[in-house]
Amino acid sequence: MELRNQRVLVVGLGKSGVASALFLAERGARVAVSDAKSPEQLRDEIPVLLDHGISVETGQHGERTFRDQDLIVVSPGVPFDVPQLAHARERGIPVIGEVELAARFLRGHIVAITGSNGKTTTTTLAGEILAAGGSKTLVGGNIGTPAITFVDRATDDTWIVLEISSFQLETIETFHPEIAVVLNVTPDHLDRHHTFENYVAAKTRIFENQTPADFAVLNADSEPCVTMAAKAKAAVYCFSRLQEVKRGAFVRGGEIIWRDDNGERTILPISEIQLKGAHNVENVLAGVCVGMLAGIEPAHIRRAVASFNAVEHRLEFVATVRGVDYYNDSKATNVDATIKALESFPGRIHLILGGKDKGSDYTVLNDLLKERVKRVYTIGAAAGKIESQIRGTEVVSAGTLENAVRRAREAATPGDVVLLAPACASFDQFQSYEHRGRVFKDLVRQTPLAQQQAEHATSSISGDPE
Amino acid sequence: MAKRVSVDKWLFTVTLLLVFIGLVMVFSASAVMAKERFGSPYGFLVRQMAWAAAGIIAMVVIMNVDYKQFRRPTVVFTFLGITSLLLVVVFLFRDSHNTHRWIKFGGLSFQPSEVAKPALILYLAYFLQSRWQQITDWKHVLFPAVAPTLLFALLILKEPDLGTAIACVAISTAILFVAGMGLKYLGYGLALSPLPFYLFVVRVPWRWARVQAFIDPFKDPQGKGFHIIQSMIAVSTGGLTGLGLMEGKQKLFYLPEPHTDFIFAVTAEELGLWGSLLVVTLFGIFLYRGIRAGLRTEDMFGKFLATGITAMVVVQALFNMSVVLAMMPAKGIPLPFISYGGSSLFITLASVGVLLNITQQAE
Repeated sequence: MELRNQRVLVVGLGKSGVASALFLAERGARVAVSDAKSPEQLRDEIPVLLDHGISVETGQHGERTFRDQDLIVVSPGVPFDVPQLAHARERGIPVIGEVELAARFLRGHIVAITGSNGKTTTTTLAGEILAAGGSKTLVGGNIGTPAITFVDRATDDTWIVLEISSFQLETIETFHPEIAVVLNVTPDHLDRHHTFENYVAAKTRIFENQTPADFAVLNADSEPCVTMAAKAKAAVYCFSRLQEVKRGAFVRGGEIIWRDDNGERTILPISEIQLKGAHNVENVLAGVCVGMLAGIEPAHIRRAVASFNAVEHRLEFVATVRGVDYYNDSKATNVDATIKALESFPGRIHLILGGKDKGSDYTVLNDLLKERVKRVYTIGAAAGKIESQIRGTEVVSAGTLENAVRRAREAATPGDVVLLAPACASFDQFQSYEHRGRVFKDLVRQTPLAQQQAEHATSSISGDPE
Repeated sequence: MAKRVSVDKWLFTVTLLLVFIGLVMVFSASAVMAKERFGSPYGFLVRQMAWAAAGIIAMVVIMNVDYKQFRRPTVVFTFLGITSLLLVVVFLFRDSHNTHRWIKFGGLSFQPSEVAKPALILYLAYFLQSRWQQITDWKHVLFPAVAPTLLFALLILKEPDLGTAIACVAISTAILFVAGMGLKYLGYGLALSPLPFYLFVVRVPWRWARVQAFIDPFKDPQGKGFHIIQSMIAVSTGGLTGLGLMEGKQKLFYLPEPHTDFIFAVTAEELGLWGSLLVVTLFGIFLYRGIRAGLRTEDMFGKFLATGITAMVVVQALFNMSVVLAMMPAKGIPLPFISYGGSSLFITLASVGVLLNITQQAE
């Protein structure tokens, strides 16, 4: 793919947008970027881009900006069907995503992991497993390091583990993972995909360019996943927490078993898994599948899983303050993730909910709220909608995260849990869910007592293992 | 980005050489006049040397300031705003011949149109650094980019100073061209040019007279064609090797403004073709090194600044020398670095300081 002197527009200045723009500029393309955010919100990005001779449009997506381009690269956050992009496509301008751009240049073995929940944990764990087996491993994608930055670092024997969102899958053409994993499919992002069918269809695209020499890994416990198996051209492997599978990983008698055409192997006992929650058993099962399919020795897989703790912002333990445990699950940006987070604790939860609404139905939380939650603290733009939908527990309208933490701290008694699992996106009050999570942790640790105890707390590994 | 420690030595040396040649020629061209006016032949030289010293100090100081410091909107728009103000205020001052080119304050005097050039360069570099790819967007990019240039050009034209107004437009055009504005748009500009030409040249009697004198100076050798003919006589008298420093005759009675606008004619008469070619070559090296700096700078702000500053120097040199050689109708444009004129020299040297800093950061 020749880039020199091509006019390329990058839409959206997230991490991957900035990385794509720099990548393209380095290869001699004439690059422009466009982001609807204001220049103040992009204070950190703009100077870097300008230094590389990249033209920057902020505050809007000008109709003319999209004309006369040879290629348009869209970031995951940008709706695929905005009129400017539709017009560009009508004019025959190729519109691709950052993952697709990377796919055209990347060398090495690609492992792509998608799903509604658990992507980050599984991606990170799979990276640890592959690294434990001695392979040169790069981990990134939707989390942490954008795939495009791996182009210069990957060689033919590198394993590249990528977390891929359904948004990113919308904009692929040739992206071809050797191992493609779909963890689960539950209603999420309906604001963007409009219907559940569209969403499932987007997820299915991860198999689109695979051949029978590749592997597709699916969750046998997730109904939509099972139907997706029919669409896969690759060899299908499954994982299940609840039943034995013909080929893949499953749980039997408290142990994780791998079964393929060569028979069964015991990988490790469930008790060695340090991650909290049943959903994390599924994530480990998926990680085991990736490891075994990549030819990693079971002993190395066991070591990697047993030493794997947690991912930042994913049910991350923050501190114990006056007997109250604080957990940061800022990455719970949808209702289903919040349900999983609630299921991880037996009860006495002070739950912080809210942010930017994604068109979710919050009534599905009601059973768990009644059963396990002492109090809900609402924040952000979605507060009103949440307050009108949830029942069965006490609700405090806190407005800001700071206020919510303060109110929860006042109300919580030793043995309680304060959990940030907001079920919403962060963009109304924060730059990203990472930002929200970090603000939460700072708020919690402000208490002097917390500082002492945080030192004893298990350290969490960052989302970006680089 | 690989940072180079030192500035472009070629540019630095060429600039100093041109300033030196300028001082020599200013002295030679003005000594007689200075004796008459100040009672000492060094009257103009001393003033010019003071400005040159101040200018070189400014150049060296600015050379060591990261040019990205100028990227802040407060810097750009303050500069642009003050320049606009000066260009308006200048109309409160009256020079000889009912013109309004100079602002006089105490003992100092300067031409705001000199500040207009760097102000426009800075604004265009700032404005286009983030918008160059959309240069064809009339409403959001091209018009706001050229609006200050047009405004300044009109104000300067009103002073009246057609030459500087044209120089401003030429410098802006160079930056727009580097920013990717297609030749098509230059074509549009050319297609529209008969209108301003008619309004500001054909309709203004004394400018039209200059054009006629340019077309055929010998039609009225004692009147309209006088200056051009005298300039040509100076250049031809010089021959290959020239009459020698201080030996020129044309500066005494015949050349208008021998130490400013027609200093190149004096140079040609006294230093001959070789001396003139040396000056031309030095400007040629300046052009080459300036363009090279622009090409090697990845940052568009730096690229546009380098282009603008190089164009500012070279366009004026070209205009000035063309007038002297009767290749263009006469207009009052100084020869950068060389012509007598403190504010022009100082501002040009300060701008070269910015250019030198860019060369320091180019790959």
